[in-house]
Amino acid sequence: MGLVQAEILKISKRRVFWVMLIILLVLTAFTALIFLVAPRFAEDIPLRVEKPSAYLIGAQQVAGQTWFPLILAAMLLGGEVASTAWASALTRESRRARHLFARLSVTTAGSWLAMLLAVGAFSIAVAIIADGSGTLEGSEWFGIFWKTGLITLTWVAIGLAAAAWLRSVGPAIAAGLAFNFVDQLAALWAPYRRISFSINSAALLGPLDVINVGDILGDTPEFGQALAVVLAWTILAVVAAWAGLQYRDA
Amino acid sequence: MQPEGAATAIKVTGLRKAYGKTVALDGLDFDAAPGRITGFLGPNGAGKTTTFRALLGLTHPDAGHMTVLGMEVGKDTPALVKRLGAVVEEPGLIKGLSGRDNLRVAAYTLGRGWDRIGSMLELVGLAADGGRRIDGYSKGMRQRLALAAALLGDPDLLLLDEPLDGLDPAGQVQFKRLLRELAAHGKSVVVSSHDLADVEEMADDVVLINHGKLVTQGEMASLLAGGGFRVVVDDARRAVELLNGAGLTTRMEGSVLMVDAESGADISRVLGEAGLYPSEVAPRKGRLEDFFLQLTDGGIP
Repeated sequence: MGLVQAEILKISKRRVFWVMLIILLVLTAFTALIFLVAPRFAEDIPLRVEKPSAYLIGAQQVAGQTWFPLILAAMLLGGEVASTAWASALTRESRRARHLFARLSVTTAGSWLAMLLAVGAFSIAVAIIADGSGTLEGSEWFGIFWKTGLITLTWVAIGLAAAAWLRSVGPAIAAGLAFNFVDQLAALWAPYRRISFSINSAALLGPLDVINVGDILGDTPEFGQALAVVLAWTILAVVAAWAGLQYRDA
Repeated sequence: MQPEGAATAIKVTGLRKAYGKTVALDGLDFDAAPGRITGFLGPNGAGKTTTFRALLGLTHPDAGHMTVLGMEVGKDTPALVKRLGAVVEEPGLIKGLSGRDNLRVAAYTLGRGWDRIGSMLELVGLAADGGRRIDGYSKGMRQRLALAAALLGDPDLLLLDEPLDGLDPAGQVQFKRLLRELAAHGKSVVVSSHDLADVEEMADDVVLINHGKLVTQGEMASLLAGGGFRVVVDDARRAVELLNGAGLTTRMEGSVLMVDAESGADISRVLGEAGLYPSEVAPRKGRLEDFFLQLTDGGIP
């Protein structure tokens, strides 16, 4: 529990989390502007969305901000493993798996809260601005809640794994972003598409064709397959992070 | 206090660690006694920091056996580190946090020490700066904060790698006094330093390593006892004639006369019989620096 408290102290007292939260909210506001406001003034913008699907689109757009959990995880752990802070932490608690659990849980919780805040902000904009009527079912809101959490957990684990192996903030962020790019690009190849993290995590939140990209990317994975693939990526990333911390000298 | 049955604070046997083709530790053996300050010395690249890191479980040695406070490093590391305080290489602090928050993080990680945060900040002279982010701290302030963090859990053994780096003279004096107090209370301290004069002043024992192996170890006083006597006398030229005439070997080191003899009484007798009375006849004590250079082929500590 002490390690979790230490991580909460670190994430809450350092500026990086709050600065990134502000950037996420600004980007969310910009996204809301594009989806909800701009189509009213420009007839040729094909992104006109209405309630209740607009709520889901908002959640998808926020969950697509994968840079947030990735960069936050890479900065928090990478900054320590790149210096002697990590070694110092191990001179007080030598069990590296415990450190990983604390970092994984606190960074995921912090990122998740930030994501939910952004989803909430987009939803308020939808409620006020979007045409149409109705809202999502309670189960659909709950789905957004846990699915956003699972996707966030995976990206945090990817960020931790990259930092654990590369021992530097910049290269860890670059590696995470490169993975995201390659994963999306490779999804154009049908055999990889079935196991693409990006495609399956987007499919987890709802059908992609609500914004008319289904034809470009092909069929949307079924929910069960999407969940299995995302869980597999989560486990893979956590194991990679653990191995990077466990077997490399501090 | 030391645990019952732990005859040594540290016992290292056959420690070996290689990084690729570079052998950092090559079968290192040494002991550090409990309740004493041990100076851990060696030239650059001798393996001092690697040894500290191995003792703390930060690096996995290729071979060898280490016990610290009676516990086996590796098997007992989780319990062991709770009884250690360490500063290895640079101060391992979290940027973006204040000095006080860094100590809170250390206490949370250690699982104790919250009640000592204020007193530790005072001890290292950072009480007034505890609320400031460490990004604005000087090197010396960071070093002092790292020492406060190392002392937070009231450890039985302190492993300090270059702890005086960045400390101003007053801070160094205060720190050396603190280490002496800790040793007086039964704590064990192992300290490496570039400044051999500091180690000579602080340490009870010395462990000297080179090329990853033990060169020598023992009590500081006995290692530095070079044999012979230092003689201060008004007429040094006449004293040399008299002592040489009595079969004793003499040499001048600057203005000081050095004499090889079985006892100081022999020197006093020879000179006294000739009406020459020395103002000082004292056992010659070598300097740690000379000792170090002699045993490490002039290596830089």
